[in-house]
Amino acid sequence: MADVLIPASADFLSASEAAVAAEGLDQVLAVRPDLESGLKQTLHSAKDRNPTNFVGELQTKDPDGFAELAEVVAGAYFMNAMVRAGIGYHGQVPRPIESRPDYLDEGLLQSVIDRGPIYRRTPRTKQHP
Amino acid sequence: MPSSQMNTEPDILIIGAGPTGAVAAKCFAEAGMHVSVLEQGDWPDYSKARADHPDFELTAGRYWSGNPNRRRAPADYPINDSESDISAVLYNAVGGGTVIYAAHWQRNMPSDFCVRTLDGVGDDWPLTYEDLQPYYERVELEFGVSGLAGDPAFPPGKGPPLPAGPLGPMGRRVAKAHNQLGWHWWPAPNAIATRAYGPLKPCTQRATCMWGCVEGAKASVDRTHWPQNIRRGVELITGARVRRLEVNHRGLVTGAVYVDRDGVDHFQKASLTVLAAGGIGTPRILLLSPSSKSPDGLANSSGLVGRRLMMHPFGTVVGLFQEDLGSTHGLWGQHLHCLQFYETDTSRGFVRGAKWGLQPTGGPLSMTRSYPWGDNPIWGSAFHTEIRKRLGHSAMWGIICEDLPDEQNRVVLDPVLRDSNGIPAPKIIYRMSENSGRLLQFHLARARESLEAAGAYETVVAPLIRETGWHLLGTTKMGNNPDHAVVDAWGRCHDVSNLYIFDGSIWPSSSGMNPTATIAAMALRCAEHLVGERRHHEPRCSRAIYSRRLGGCSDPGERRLSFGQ
Repeated sequence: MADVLIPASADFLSASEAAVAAEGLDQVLAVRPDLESGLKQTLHSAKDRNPTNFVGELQTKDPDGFAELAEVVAGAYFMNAMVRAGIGYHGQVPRPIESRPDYLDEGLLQSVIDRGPIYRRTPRTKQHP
Repeated sequence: MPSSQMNTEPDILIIGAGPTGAVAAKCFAEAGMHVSVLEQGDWPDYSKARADHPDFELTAGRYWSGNPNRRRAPADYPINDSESDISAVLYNAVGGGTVIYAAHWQRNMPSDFCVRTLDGVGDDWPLTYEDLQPYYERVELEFGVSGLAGDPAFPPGKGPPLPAGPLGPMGRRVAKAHNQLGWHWWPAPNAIATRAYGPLKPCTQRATCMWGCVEGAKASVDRTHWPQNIRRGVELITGARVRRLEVNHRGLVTGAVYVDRDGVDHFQKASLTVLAAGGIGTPRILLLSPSSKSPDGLANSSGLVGRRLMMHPFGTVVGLFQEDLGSTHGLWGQHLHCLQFYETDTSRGFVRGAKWGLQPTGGPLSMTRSYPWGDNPIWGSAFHTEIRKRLGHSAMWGIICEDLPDEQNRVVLDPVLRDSNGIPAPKIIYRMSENSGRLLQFHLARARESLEAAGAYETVVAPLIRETGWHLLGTTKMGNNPDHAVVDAWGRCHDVSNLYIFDGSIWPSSSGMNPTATIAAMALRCAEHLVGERRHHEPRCSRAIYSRRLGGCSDPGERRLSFGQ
């Protein structure tokens, strides 16, 4: 069923190649135990069904159940180190802010300043010089 | 009276340790007052912030979810939102909503304070932008706000203390596009430190601001205020859920009954009480505190306690770009803001407007979700292509729509639902107005044009989702006329002279801005006034008692009770 959601392509692994249904699932449920009962129910309903037909039906008839299944599958998939390397994603790693502000480049701000104040005047509003 | 011990009496009791309580407590403590604070939550547990773990995206919405009905932490109370278009989003902890806010630090604009005068809707505030401006400038120092002075969307004045965060590739694209369109933009103000500042460390653009800032760069008041407040002698009692306020025969508040973590009731005496529990928590406490003199809830002779709930309908438009924008990262937060369409133009078919904030879109799992991507197909054969299109190549406008006050939109006590201590839970009843609907559609269309002008080859208007009620405003309205307001211009309850409300509940209109800047500025203004009043001003009785005596208050005991002298 995971491969229905994430099949293989020329450049990227399928869900099963990324071990989504094996250690991936364990990893997901270890940090999101709240997803377990819904997933069990979905897997039970899918028993003996054609995966493609079942997933299509689930998406239409039970969007919340589908969203939960998709979260588990994609969650496991994107925790796989090979997958992450393949898409060039290294996590929410730190990227320190450079000291020179980029809004000073190319006179970007001057255009805004030149267009003048845009706030609405009230009886007590001070005006820009 | 509960059977447990009577706690010693502070000069002032604050209920709620979010931004309002934090700013007020700092002010009171600096004035030499003995301050006690009741907070039903605990300190945020940043060990559960997973930004530097592979499971970050998967786990972020669990512990750091803003919806208490989903989070269901021990400190949370349930909220019945079955009759609301929008679910309430809040955080019960030391730091309150600032723990999970995106830290968009937006001042209100001058017109926000006089919508009745200018647009014939809602109500004017009993103060102006100019009254509040010095307080904005001071709280921006307290919070270590980053931004840039000179934004032509606001009157001139001092800017925040830290430089604005970077525009980044997506911000520069949009800035250039807006310059071509002749539309406003400006480097965004954020309560996010771009350099080391007091207890705050410099932001490293992980784009995890709303799900536990691991750097300690986001100015949540559990970092910027409470440690310092405690060092100044403020007594912060966590795990303390207020059951009700107690009122004496004179109609004055004598303190609060609260339940501790073990379910034991306590009574915290107080001669002055400040409610800082937010747009749902504050009216809930008042409605839980009826008396023979105020059977419909404390301070409610106007009938407005709980009414006029405003929640800011929220819209999102995402643009897809060929260029790698690096938009997995950034300040989230906002990179720039746009106020081009903030002011009323009646030719648009609605009044008031909205603020836009340009944001990153996050990591790969976020690319698969129905928000903000709607039902645009991704699963199956399209999966890998769509991920490549979206990841790092997308930019997102978040749109905050002004909500007009409507007395039918309200917080009430649910007749059945209870929290874990058996206290009646709140129910919110809210319908988005026709004006808000038109306003939102107009702004979504303009935001789409903005991203297209910036080079987006495809745009996606996100579906409206329920869990966007971050801004809970208006439920104990401020105004000069006691018949039409719960508190006066300084947050003092018209009905109960020793009870104050400083939080977002008191807003007469909602503006179209993220509210924390104004909530903090108002808390400082009201707190300073209370300090000055306590020193210099003659006390007065509760409104009901004053009316009954016809000659005013002369009971010296009552004076003591009112002002803790």
